[in-house]
Amino acid sequence: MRRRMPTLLSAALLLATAGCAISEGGPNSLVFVSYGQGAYQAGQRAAWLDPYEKQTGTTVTLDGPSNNAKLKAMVEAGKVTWDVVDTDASAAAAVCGSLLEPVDMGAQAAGFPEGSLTDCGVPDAFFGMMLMYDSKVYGQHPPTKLADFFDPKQFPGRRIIYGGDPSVGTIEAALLADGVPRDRLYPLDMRRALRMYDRIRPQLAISSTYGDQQQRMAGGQADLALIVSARAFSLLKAGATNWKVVPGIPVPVTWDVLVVPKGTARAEEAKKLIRFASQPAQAADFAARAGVGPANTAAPAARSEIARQLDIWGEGKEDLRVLSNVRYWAANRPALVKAWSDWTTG
Amino acid sequence: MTAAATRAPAVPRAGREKRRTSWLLLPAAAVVLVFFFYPLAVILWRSFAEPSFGIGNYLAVLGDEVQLRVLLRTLRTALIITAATLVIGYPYAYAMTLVGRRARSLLTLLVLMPFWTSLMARNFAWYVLEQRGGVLDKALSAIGFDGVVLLGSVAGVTVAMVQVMLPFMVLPLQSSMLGIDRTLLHAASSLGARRPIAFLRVYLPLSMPGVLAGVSVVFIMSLGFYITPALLGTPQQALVAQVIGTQVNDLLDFAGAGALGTILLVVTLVVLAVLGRVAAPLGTSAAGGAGRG
Repeated sequence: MRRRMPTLLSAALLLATAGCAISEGGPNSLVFVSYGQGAYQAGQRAAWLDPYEKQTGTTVTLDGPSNNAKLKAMVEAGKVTWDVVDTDASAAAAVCGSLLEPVDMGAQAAGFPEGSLTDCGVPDAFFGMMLMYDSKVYGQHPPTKLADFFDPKQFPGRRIIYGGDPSVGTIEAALLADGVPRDRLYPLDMRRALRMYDRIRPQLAISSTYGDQQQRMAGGQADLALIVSARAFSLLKAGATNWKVVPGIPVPVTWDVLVVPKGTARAEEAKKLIRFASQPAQAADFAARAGVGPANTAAPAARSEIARQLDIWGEGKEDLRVLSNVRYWAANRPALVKAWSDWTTG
Repeated sequence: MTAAATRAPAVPRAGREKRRTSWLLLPAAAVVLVFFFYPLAVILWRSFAEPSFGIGNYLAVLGDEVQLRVLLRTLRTALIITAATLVIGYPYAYAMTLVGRRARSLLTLLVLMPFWTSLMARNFAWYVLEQRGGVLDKALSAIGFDGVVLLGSVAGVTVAMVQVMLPFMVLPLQSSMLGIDRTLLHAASSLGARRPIAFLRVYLPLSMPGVLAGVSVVFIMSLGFYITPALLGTPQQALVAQVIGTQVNDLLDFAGAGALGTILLVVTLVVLAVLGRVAAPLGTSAAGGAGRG
């Protein structure tokens, strides 16, 4: 028996060390989770995390990419290593209370656009679903309205959308294009929206990641695109200058939120960081760096030319913004996502 | 355990030796148990237990036309990939056993180079090759096939996956072929068999273990492949792994994904069992025939 001990011991040791490999962080540190390399996360680092570290002495470590399934697995396993997570608003609203801590924003709540703040999700970035076109292809006769995207006769050419998550404005854009008044979008008529996409099915490419969509647009694999503004920003900044935004048309707006997973030992500290990031100056700084709409409406407008094209809060855009109904999406998400993925894979 | 310990002295030396060394398997067994069987058991359990106990998740998958279509598409794609790698890999592995040492190392290197290259790098290379205006598009239009864009099609995914899977076919084939005694072929021809007949009745049956190993590995890996279809394909032609991904990541439906995964596992096991049934007697009886010849 004694002879067997080393093997058993080494096996046990191996398992023990494997279990401890996940770093817990100390009391004076936070783990912030976002979407990986790029203007978005770099903007968060520069606008929020660095100043916060300087001000409070708390070390903030970045982890990523943000993933709702991983978050769920962590909370269920009772081993939460994430403190603040950047995720999409409707997914967060759907698991508020079960996987996420409520975050009370107090007086700061007034700074957010109406209906965007939910019990667990604090908006940190707003995205518009933009209609873009390749100006080399449609130089003389550019598209001017959302319906043009769904009209292959007047506007022949290859279309591209992001298909991973229909809640980013994909469905709303189709309904708006079909003439549904903005105040009667919800409850969403999914069948009507899918009939719109049926019209362009032969011309439509669906990307399963934003990166793929950007890549194909930059590589001339598409002529028309529905794309979220933050990705359009990176695309234009990277020099895809023949792509133009169709101005003056309705823009479905969705947003990302900061959430605190249930079960983190540093929930209070995490909420402090969220309140810090939600201040006007911090929100504006991040928005300018990442090309997103600032979450805090008290923040000054973005300046750069590219940012102005994609800005959803700018002057004269009040009548064009169509904010997503996250509560509707949260309540109906499984059925809507199922209908969408059935259509795409069918 | 105490019974085994007291009985131990009675066991002959070789047996005792075996018993002692079998403990060396313990760490590996523990790793497999903890990192494979335990999660698998949890997934299985959840697929039956959530949201309410029963087989609801399985009925949902089997009653869902789209998911069944995806499952069939996955099986078909995996079969095509397996067949293609076999057709390309068999002659290649055969050639490797014929040539001299230098040429063989070159051929081995050609197989292993892509094998060692990062999967992501290879997938992105295919991404560039297959896109509109890419090398393949241009080459195809030069010979009269206009506007064939492989990117985002099942064909494009298949071509790339064949390249990714090829080493998994060639290596087991080659190792089993190296073990075949080529004097048997000479014996066959000295007894009057023409070369193709000698190959079909002697060599091919003897190489069956390698074929089976290669086919099983490629088929199983193709069924669960995620990266290549996700990168080069589109949701319009999704394979099962991507649908499972949607269920886990977008819907947080771990139980439904578990059910779909379990069905995929069962289908895989059934296909493998059938494959083994069909191939095993073929190999042995033909080999027996060769022995008689």
